Formats: sequence, structure tokens, C-alpha cells
Amino acid sequence: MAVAEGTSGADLTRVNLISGLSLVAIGLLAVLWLIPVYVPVEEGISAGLSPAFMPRLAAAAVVLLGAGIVASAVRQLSSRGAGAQEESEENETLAFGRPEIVNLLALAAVSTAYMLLFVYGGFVASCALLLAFAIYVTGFRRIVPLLAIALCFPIALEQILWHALDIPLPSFWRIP
Amino acid sequence: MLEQLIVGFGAAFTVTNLLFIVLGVAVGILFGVLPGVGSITALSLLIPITFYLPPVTAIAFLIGITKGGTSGGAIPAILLNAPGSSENVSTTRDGYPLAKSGKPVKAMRMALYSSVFGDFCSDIVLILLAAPFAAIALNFGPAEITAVVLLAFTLIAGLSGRSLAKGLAAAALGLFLSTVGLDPEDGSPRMTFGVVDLYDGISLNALAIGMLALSAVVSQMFDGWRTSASAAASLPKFDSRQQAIAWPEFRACLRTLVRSAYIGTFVGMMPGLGVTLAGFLGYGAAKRASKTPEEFGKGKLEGIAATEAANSAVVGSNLIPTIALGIPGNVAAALLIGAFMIHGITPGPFMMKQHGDMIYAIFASMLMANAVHILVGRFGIPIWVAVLRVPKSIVLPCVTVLCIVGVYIPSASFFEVGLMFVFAGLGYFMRKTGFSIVSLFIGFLLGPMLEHTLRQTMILYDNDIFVLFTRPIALPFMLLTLFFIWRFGFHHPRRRRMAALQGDPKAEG
Repeated sequence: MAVAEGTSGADLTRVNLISGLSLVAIGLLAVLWLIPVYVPVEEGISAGLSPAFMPRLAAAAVVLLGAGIVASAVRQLSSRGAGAQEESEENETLAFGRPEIVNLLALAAVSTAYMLLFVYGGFVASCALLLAFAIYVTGFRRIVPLLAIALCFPIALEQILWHALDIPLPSFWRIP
Repeated sequence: MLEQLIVGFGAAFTVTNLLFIVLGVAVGILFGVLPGVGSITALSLLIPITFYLPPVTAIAFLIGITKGGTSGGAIPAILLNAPGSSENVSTTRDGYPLAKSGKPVKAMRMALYSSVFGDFCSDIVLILLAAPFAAIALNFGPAEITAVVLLAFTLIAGLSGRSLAKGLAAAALGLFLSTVGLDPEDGSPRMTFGVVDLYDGISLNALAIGMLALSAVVSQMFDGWRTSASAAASLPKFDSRQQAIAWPEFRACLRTLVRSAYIGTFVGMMPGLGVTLAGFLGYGAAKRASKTPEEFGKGKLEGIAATEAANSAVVGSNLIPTIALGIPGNVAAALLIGAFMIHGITPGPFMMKQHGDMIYAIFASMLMANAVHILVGRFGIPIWVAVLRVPKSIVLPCVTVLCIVGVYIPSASFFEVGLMFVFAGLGYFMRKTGFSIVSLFIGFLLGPMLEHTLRQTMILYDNDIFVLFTRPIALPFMLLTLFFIWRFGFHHPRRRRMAALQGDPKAEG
């Protein structure tokens, strides 16, 4: 169910439609709820300009540009012609479908697990586990060097920072 | 100017400074060589380390990284036909065939010499033009600066992809994110949700490392996860007696080197045009000017020289708008603005006036870095070749750990590390959907400046925003902004749509 796939020069019309709608939603959420609730909207000390002036302006720009992206995508879909081709600024494959959504969910899960380990287990333990996991899943399967790198790299880094720059990284016996 | 430069050399020529320049260049080349990373990753990772250094040493170290990174990216382009970053794509065209024909070291040396040549020319232009440009910029008031920032946003958004609306939306999102934190005028909290870590705003470190470095690493790790390819690179064999570059060979490339240095310098001065474009333009111009264009792409030294001199010439000249106006020429300059700000220096028209001695010390450090670049690059070749053999599946996870350390060091905040992961996710999404990360980053970086000058303009001119079209200096910038909005937003898409309907692939490109 890939929404769009391809190399640089991909047609991302459907992705644009969804992301444009998301931008409009985010912008409206900011204008209607986030800014009124979390920014003092009364006029500030600077000659009548409220602290909400710039956030409102930026959020309004997000809404307008999001609407522009939606309009452009709708026009392309309704004309049934070829959509405008797009390219990545860093020569990456432009594609957003099921694999990319799975990747994002995997990133969220791994980073949440890592943060918990980092806070409660300290730097060395969390990074050793992260390294071992990441090296293994990205294709390096020689266990002894894998474990050696996973252990030695964070330990070496912690020691260098502590002894050379006097910077302590969190350890499980220091951080509650 | 010469006198100030000599004083600058006096301040910059210290053992500590030299050591950090050597380290910066070496790290830059190393990250340029390492598969899947680049000098932008190195720059964003190592800015936090510079908290502990004096400003001149810190900036010299970071500039060393950008200088080294550009030539470092040429090494995998030459040896593996896999450019370290997009700016080295054209280097593969002649570098790889030359390496395959048994002259990889010769190709690497030519890339290095050309890179340093382009860089040096660009630095000279920077030294000559920075002060006059800054003097002109001193005449700019808030309305003029606002107009310049709007032009920079439009250029960067328009040139970063094929959709101006997506580029500008990313910049607006960056602008919105920059408003989080205490209001700069009256100190009231804006969207801080009671989180103390947000009172100073969203951390520049967390955003830069998350979006520029970690998201790129994560994207490649996912590719590795799906393909499980971890084979070490196999490098071409060579005869060490055939690797020297004779003086006639170098002299034959001189015209190309000068042309490319000129192209790269001009591209670097324009916000948003980017290093990659400079490389392509340099290569294209050399091929068009050559009497034997058919030899390009078959291992011609001139091809390597053209690309490398052009892309390296961007490094110095993109500091001209940075120093004169506080507007970065590209993402590396944007990161350097962040580093300047960390050290209490605000880039912009007043920078030359307030920190003139330091700026000339930085210029002197840049010239010293060119000499260091030749030595480190030349004698480090065996090391860079060895580094190239390290599999991506080891490099990328280690860089992830460096990202975590890079965010944690200056803040000692778990919140910021978490924020970095959030921005890495956002960066990954933007990479895959064609939204410009560079636009968002520059929107975030220039957001406070735009807010400050826009507010001043509103106060000074009784909330009359049309003053941007009536002030004589602001008007040309606003007209250029409108022209580029029309050009990128309406002119090109219509032509592309027409071409798509008519099935003309050339016009689509």
C-alpha cells in the first residue's frame, strides 16, 4: 500500500495531500488552541505587540502553505495527468509507504527503550545494548567483534570525556 | 586590512590553535570518508565540544572540519564510485575511472590539491569582501534586515527541492519552533508547558543533531536493516610509482582550477545555492571549455580538479553573507552561526565592528587551515583508505552514540536527548517526503532575528508592514523575493506540468 515510491524524481502527490492536510491541522491547532492557551496573548511591553505575534504569524504561514500544498495535490489528482516530479535535497529515495511507517514506529520504540535505559541504567550499559542491537540488525553478524565494539566504544568514550574534558556521563549508580 | 590580518595571524598562530586546526581537518576528512556520514554530521556533533574552547580556536576547529569534509568526500567517490556526499558526485565521473586504471592515489592527490586551491581562492575573496560588505550592511535598518531574511528564506526554500510551497512550509515550521521559550521582549513563557528545559527555547543542538545528523544515520540504518549488507569495501590495486602528479599535468589544470574557484566562490556567496550545485557547475564549465570534452568521464584529471575546486570554494565565500548580514549561505554556515552564538558572538553587520580582531584571527586560521589541509590530507591517505574499509553497519551505530553524547554534553539533560530522537523522527519523515530539512533548520536559526527585526519595524513604522516596499534598500530585496516566489512557485511548476502532459522528460528535469 505504498502511498508513493520511487527514486529522486518521485511523484509524491498523495503524500503531499496527506502532509498538506497535516500541516493545515497542525497550524490550526496552534492558532486555535496552543497559542491562546500557552502564550500570553495580551499586548506586551514592545509598543503594543503581543508575545503571540510571531507564533501566530508562523502558524498562519504554516496553514496557508499547507493549504497551498493540498490545493496543488488536489489539482494534480483531479487532472489525472502525471504529477509534478520531486527530488530529495540529499539524493535520497523519496518514498513514504508501509515500510517507512514501520521504520518510524521502530525508531519510536527503540528510542523510548533507549531513553529508559539511559536514565535508569546509565550511559555505558544503554549504549552497549544500543550498539549491539543496531550493529546486528544492520547486518554485521560476527558476534565476538560485535560484542567487543559494543562494549569498548562506550567505555572508551566515557573514559575520554571524564579524564580529558572532566565531563561525567550518567552512570547507573549515580543517577537514581 | 593587511595590518589587521597580520595582527590576526599573531593571535591565531598558537600551538593550541594549530593543534585544533589539524584535528578539525583530520576529523573533517575522516567523516567525509566514513560511509554514510559527512562533514555536516561531524560539524553538528562537535559544536558542543567547542563550548570548552576559546572562540577563535573553536571556530577554527569547526572551519577545519568543513574544509576537510569536502575533500574527504572525494576519497570514496574516487575509490568506490560512491561519493561521500552529494557535492562529490561529479568527482566519481573521472575519479573512479582513473582509480580503476591503477592511479587511485594520483586521483586523490589531485582532488586534495584542487580542493585546497579552491578553498584558498575563496578565503581570499572572503577576506577582501567581508569588511566592505559588512560596512554596507551597517546601513541596513530593521526593515532592510527583515527584507533580506525573507529573501533568504525564499531562495533556500526554492532551491532546496522542486516545491517552493514545501520548502517555505518547512521554513515556517522552523520559524514556529523558534518561538518556543521565553519571549525575548517581555520574558513571558511561550509554549513551554511548564518544562524548565524549554525556557531557553528548543535546543539548537538537539534540533541540529537530530535533524541533520541522526536522521541521516537512521535513514541509512533502516536501509541496512532491510538489505543486511555489511560487506567491507574492496579497493583497487595500484603501482605506487605511477601516482605522482607532474608539474605539467597540474599546470594543464590551472585554468580549470581558477574557473572552478570563481564559480564556487560566486555560488557560495548566494544563500541557498549550495555546494552540490557548485560541483556540477564547475564540472560542466570545464567540459564545455575543454578542447577534448570527449575525454571527460574517462579518468581526466581536469574533471576531478573542476569539481573539487568548485565545491571547496564554497566554504570560504559562504561566510560573506554570514559575517555581513548574519544570513547563512548554506547549512554548514548555519551551523557555524550556531557556534558563533554559543560563544556570545552574534553574526551580522555589527560583528566586524564589535569583534574585528577575532574575525581577522579566524581569517588567519582559515589560511593556516589550508596549509594544514595539504599536509594532513597528503600524508593521511593510507589512513583514509584504511578507514574506508570499515563497514557501514559498524560506523552508523557508533555515530548514533556520538549523537547522544553530542547532545548530552553541553546540557546534561535527558530531555534534550529525548528531543533529539523526536527531531530525528521528524527529519526522517521529511527526508522521505521531500520536505526540506535545511529550510526548517534555517527557519529555526533565523527565526529570532526575523522576529526581532520585524517587531522593531512594526514599532518604528506604526505597524505599517508596507514600509518593506517603500524603503529604498528594502524594496529591491522585497521585489527579488516576489520574483523568486513567482519563478520557483508558479513559473517552473507550470512548465513542468506542461512538459509532463506532453511527455517531455527533458523539460521535466
